[in-house]
Amino acid sequence: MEQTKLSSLLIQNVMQVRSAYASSGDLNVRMLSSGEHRFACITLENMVNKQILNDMLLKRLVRQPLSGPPMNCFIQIEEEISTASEQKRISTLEQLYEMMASGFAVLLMDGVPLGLALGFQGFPARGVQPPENEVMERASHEAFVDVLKLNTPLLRRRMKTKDFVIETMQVGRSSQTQVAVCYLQGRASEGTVAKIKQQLRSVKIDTVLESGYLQPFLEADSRSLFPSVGVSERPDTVCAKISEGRVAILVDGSPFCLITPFLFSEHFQSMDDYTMNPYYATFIRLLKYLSFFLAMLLPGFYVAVGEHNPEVFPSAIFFKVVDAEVATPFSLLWEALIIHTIYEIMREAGLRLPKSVGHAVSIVGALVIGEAAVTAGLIGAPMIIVVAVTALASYVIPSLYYPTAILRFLFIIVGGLSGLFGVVLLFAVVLTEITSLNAFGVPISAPISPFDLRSMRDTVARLGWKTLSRRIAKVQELHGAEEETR
Amino acid sequence: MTSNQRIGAGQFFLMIFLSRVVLTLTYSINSGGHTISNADWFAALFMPLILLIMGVPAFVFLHHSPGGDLCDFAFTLGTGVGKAVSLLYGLLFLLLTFTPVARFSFFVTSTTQTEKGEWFFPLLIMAAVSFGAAKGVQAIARTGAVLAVIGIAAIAAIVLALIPRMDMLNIYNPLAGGIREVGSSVLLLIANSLELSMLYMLAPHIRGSVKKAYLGYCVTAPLMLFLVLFTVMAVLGPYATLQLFPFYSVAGIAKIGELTNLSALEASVWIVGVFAKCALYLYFSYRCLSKVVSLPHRWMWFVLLGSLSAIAAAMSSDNVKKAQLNFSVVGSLWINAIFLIVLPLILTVAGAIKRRKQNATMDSMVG
Repeated sequence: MEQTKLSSLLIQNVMQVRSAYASSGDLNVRMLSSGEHRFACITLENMVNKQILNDMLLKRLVRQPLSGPPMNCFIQIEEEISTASEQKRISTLEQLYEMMASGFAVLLMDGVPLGLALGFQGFPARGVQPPENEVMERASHEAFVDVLKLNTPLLRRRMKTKDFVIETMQVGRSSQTQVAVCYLQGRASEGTVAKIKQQLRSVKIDTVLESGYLQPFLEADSRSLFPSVGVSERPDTVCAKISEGRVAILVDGSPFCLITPFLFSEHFQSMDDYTMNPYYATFIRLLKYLSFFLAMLLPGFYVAVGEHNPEVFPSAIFFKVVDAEVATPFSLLWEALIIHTIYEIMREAGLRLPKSVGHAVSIVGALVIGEAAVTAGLIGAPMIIVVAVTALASYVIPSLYYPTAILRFLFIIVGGLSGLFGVVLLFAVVLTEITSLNAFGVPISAPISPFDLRSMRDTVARLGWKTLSRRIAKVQELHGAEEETR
Repeated sequence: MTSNQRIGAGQFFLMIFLSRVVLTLTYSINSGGHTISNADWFAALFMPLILLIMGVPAFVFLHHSPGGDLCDFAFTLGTGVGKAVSLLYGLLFLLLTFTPVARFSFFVTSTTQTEKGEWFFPLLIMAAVSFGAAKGVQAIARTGAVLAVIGIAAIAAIVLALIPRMDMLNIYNPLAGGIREVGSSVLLLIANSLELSMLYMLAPHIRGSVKKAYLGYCVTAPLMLFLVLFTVMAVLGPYATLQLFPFYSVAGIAKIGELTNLSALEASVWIVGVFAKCALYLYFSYRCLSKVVSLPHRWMWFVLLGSLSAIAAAMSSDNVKKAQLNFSVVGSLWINAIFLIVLPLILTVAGAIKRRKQNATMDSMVG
């Protein structure tokens, strides 16, 4: 992009900035003099802490008249007068606009073709708060916030080694969003880091307002239902992943960090697993795997068995199901489709509504689905149990909710049309889809397939810390990972 | 060959194991006129040796063609030879793709879902298989490994559940029917051992010891066959000969806790086996035929070959008479002999002659 050099004429620089921001009402240009020199302090409304700007620069500048050649005075301001801990010389208008948009105050001086960007940021930002989506019992209660500069210290504080690298770059033609690529030198694969940076640089997108905008560019297959990039709002989780050789990507404006390569089995892990007794942690992991299969397969399995393979039901259950279903007007397939669609509508409504109204949705849902539909004989009671179990199970692994929800409907349709064989066949297809994904050369289905016994100690089971700490688990060392990633 | 096509030796072992064991579950009284008897489990005891002998031409071939599959090797002998061999093997793999689908379709439409037309299951299965094949050999092998473990666990559960139902009076001298009956069983087992064809195509993609993987297969697959056949005979006895699909029938009386019928479990293992096996064969068919003809897009191959297989499977499973063709022992034996032994040996000898001639030419030039 062509860069416009700053002029040594202050008035010309100011005119150019004013014309560039002619339509914006939030440009502040404060003209002032110090001795024989004239200055302009340019800021954007509410992006700078005015109190600090006044105390640390403007008051001092006015009270200490400057004399001598302009360049000498500029250097004097830079080295003696300004007390900003973060300051940077700029020489072009484009740099000026970028620094202003990042919350810097820019000082221009007549007779000097340079500017001084001073870090007096004071824009409103949410402070560090407990995580909302990844709630843990014993792990840290800190979550990322929206401002990148507040997020990087959350990682640095936990990762004190000098090998911890935070590289920043800009993505988005208009938004010029700051993106930080964080990794542990010597632990993360150099090839993977280079590929990630290259992919981020090649992103042709106008605005990046959330990390989700960049996620498809890092996915192994952006058309796949299953993600190969993890998302976390917890700095401790991200640090744990970084220490295993993964790369984290923080995006300014987003409290969610991207992590890659991300294995499928990591959806079933959480920070609490590592603070609990290993037996209980293993038990919880097994519950999570069971919940995933229930959330995805149970309705489809129930429809398939009920419609085509009743021999699978133990006889006592079979008669109960027949009793309940014989009075309903719909087939099991249609019942399942209707009830699950209603459930998804209620869930979506519950998510978007204000919390105060959310309770009303729950009551309506419980009354309409739980009571009225069964009493009216529209839906069988066993189907309500199936929906309830499925709904509960689907919340156990929130990161897999979206693929599970879509697949649930597919399994219902296939199960209703072709019975248990169709369900099993679709399961094989889903498995193939998962195993076909390689995130930056690492198969996301590892360490289950390709099987890696050493890594199984923290996959389905979670062994004790004494065993886990014997070896640093690196994602590139998993069986099946391409050699170039090591 | 790119590294993203590599698979582990363990995955290869599980793939051929699953593929072979699934065939045993599909054992039918239509198996080329062969009738199930005590001679079958006895014949399974000879299988390790037979499989080892059958593997010799394959390993001789692999020794002489390091780095490429059978079709690649044929192309080193000339473009014409390469295209002819690729076409033949492409068609063979297409045949091997649709036969298990036809068998399964025949099974479902004659047992649990008799109301379904003959087109329904071939279309459904081939849609899934084509998707799997399009994902490539690595994804198929990884999936196959998981499915094999699930399959082994399921078969083991069924066999264990049937132990109380076994009656040792049903097990009698396997030689009672004479050597001819045992010979017939051995021939059936050989006819159903076309998994060796996977070795010719997969060996260059395998990371690790192919020999160990094949040796493992030679030992474990017959053991599983023995277990399955012995269980069927011990539980059903002479009634086994009256069942259209004996192992399916025997699973129907297996009981684990509250589950009093495991036939659906058996059929599930059958279908996942069919999926993994056919996806791999369809992928091989694409690999071979794409060397003969080119299509604008890779996915077109899988749509085309998938559709052809579905049509062939549907047309060959709509009645018992046609279905018997899918179980033909004589046909399978001929295929075994031609494609797994004769052709590879001819190619190996032709390769050796060509290399000798080249060496002689080089020597004369140096001289």
